[in-house]
Amino acid sequence: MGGELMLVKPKVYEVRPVATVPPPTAVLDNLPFQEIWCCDFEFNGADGEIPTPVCMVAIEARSGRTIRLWRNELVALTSPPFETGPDALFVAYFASAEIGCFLALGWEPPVLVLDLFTEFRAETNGLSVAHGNGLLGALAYFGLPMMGGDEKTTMRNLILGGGPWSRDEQGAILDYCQEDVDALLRLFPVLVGRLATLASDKYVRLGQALLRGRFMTAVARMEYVGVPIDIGVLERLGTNWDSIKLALISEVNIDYGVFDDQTFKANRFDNWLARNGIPWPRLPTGRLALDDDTFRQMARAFPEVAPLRELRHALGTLRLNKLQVGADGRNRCLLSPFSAKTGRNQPSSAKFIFGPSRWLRGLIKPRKGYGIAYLDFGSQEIAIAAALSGDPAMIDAYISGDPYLSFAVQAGLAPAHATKETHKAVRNRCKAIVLGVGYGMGAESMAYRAGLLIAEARELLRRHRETYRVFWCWADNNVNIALAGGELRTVYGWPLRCGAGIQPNPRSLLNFPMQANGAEMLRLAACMATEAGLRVCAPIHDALLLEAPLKRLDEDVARTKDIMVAASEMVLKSLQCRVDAEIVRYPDRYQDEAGVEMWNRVMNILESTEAQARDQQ
Amino acid sequence: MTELNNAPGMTPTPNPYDPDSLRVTGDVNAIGAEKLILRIPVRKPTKQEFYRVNSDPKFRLSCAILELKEEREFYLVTPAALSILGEDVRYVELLLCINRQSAVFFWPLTIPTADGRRNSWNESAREAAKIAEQGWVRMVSNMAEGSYSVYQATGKIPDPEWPKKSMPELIELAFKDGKLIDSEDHPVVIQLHGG
Repeated sequence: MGGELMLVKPKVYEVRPVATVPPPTAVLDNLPFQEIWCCDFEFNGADGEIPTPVCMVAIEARSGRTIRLWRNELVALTSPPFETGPDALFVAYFASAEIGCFLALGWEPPVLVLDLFTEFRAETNGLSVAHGNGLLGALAYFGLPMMGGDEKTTMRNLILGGGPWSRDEQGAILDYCQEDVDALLRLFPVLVGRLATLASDKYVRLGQALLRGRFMTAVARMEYVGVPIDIGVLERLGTNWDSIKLALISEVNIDYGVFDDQTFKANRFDNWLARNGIPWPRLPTGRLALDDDTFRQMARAFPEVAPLRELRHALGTLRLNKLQVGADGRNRCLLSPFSAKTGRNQPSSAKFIFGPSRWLRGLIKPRKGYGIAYLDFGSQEIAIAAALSGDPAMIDAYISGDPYLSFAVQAGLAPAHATKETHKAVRNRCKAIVLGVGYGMGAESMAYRAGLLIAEARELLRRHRETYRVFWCWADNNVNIALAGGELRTVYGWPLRCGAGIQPNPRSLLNFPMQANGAEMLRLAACMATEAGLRVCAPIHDALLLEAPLKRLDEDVARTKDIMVAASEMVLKSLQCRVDAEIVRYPDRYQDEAGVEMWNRVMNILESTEAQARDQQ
Repeated sequence: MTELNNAPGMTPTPNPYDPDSLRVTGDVNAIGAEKLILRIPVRKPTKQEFYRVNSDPKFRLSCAILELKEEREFYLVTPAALSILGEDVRYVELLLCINRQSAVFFWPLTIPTADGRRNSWNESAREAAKIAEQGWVRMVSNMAEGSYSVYQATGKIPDPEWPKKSMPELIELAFKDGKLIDSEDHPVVIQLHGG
């Protein structure tokens, strides 16, 4: 016998050809638009600044009519050089960037936007995508021809260099821009064909795609406005951050003794925990779990841990230089719409002021003559769970205004006359369970989060199941649908694919309808508010940050509230979500309640550090 | 709302400014799932569980059973097989029960003997079963008293949701897999007779 056969697994790139791609012309003929313009801009601009368009290429998909314009030609125009009204479809990849260029040029955004990025995300949400969610990744996914990644990087660097560009370079940049538009023309029939040829849906899916495109315009508008930042304090923090860090460590360490110089010592922390009788989660290796999630949960259960958690968090995550702030004092960054599986935005926590360091939000300050308002949906997840499941007891609990106490009463844990004041402890326990269910948590996580015994959390969870049977029947059914290989969809069609080869987490599946429909609600609110001319600075999970001149602030807050309530009704139908507003007027600054103590501590250190520096001069 | 130009004869343009027209209605997924009951255990309620007894006479069955104590197994003995097993069988009333975890089980509650002898364990268990028809109870052996102590839940606990099956279907789920003794050829009968 000769040598043994060796089975070598060839390197395979996942390129999934689409089985039933209608021919492009058939797709185009079927679409109810008189013109279809695929468009791409090249632009540059420093972090935090409004983009500066460099050039634009647009091609009409049916006629092939092509428009190539360099920046001097673009700025000379007062409106787009092609049809963008209700008869025309505007197609782009990550359209908020293109529409950001429209806004920078003073052009009115297109009425109908179809974003192939959002549609690629929708097509693959929940599946693994080998080459990422960029344009090249989408082309690779469908087995469509594409340009090399190296070439793209070279050209991008040339553009970001900011010029001046020679005549040849201008031509090369325009050609490069056109290559992306050509790629759009290849990708468009594949993605749109799948939306528009589903006869049973009667264009509903195409309409839902346009609704997502509408939100990309809202994103462009919000990114354009940005969040007002106190750049004076930001600069002072940046200059003194190293000294502040050292002072913070020595100040907090007095109570804990866990730092050696700037290094956190696990064995010292272990001793501190033993001295204080705090049971701390451990890894399978027996070592203490020191990740931020554990610290956050334990800080809730044992408040004495909270200052240490805040400090570790601040030291570990705060990179002030990454916060993207423009010369005009506005925090602008990519809001990363549709990045999360739930469809929620997922901006970089380092670049976005609403990243996880809550104390840093004290930097948000309205400019002179203006005010800001943080408007959020009250108990959004509970409202969604109640309305979409149709659970009458849960609907009653939401309408009561205090769903946590209502649960306590409905489950027989508190008398009917109980109030927030008379039954605070039981309300807090019930709150942990109600919120935990909304986030898809199990009894163990809820117990950690609320400082309950696991058996107690399990019992409360069982009571929740008994009290809200209709909800649990609906929620369990959703999980079963997904686990059986079906697809979960929000009321406006954002999907979660759960096919073969996917190993979904049942808790995430249970949570998906609440989070994903919550995302729909906020998207609708952002669309309507920005289209109404309100200055929305940013979306934050279930909230909008609004800015207005002081004389119009109350009126604009009321208008935004009405819009948010209307958006909630569009999603929930049978219920309206409450909307709470926190208003800040110049010269006050915004503060997150959880970050006030740390902000004050940092400001005190900053002032004494600066005073010392002055004394030394 | 933004109006779109929908000329007569043309396919209407889906309107993203009218989200109501784009809402997913009805059941978008044809598939779903329901929890199936594949087996029903036969056992006494444990001392740690609150349980309810179905009060509907249709869901109780007076019958003879054989209990293999070491294996903790119960066998339903048909009248035809009674004479073969003699004193090994016990006469019970099978009560359909459910606990707070929605687990369904049959409780074989011993029927009082015709000779009038009293057994405080059986009597207290019977009283507990009666109470459990109306409320959630838990019973715990009390060796000092020689009977079960019965605890009734005082909080507001919802009534249970009983399985939507008939008694014959439930009995079949409890005594499938060879747990019905209807002849002398049954392996358990052979085993008891030293076979």
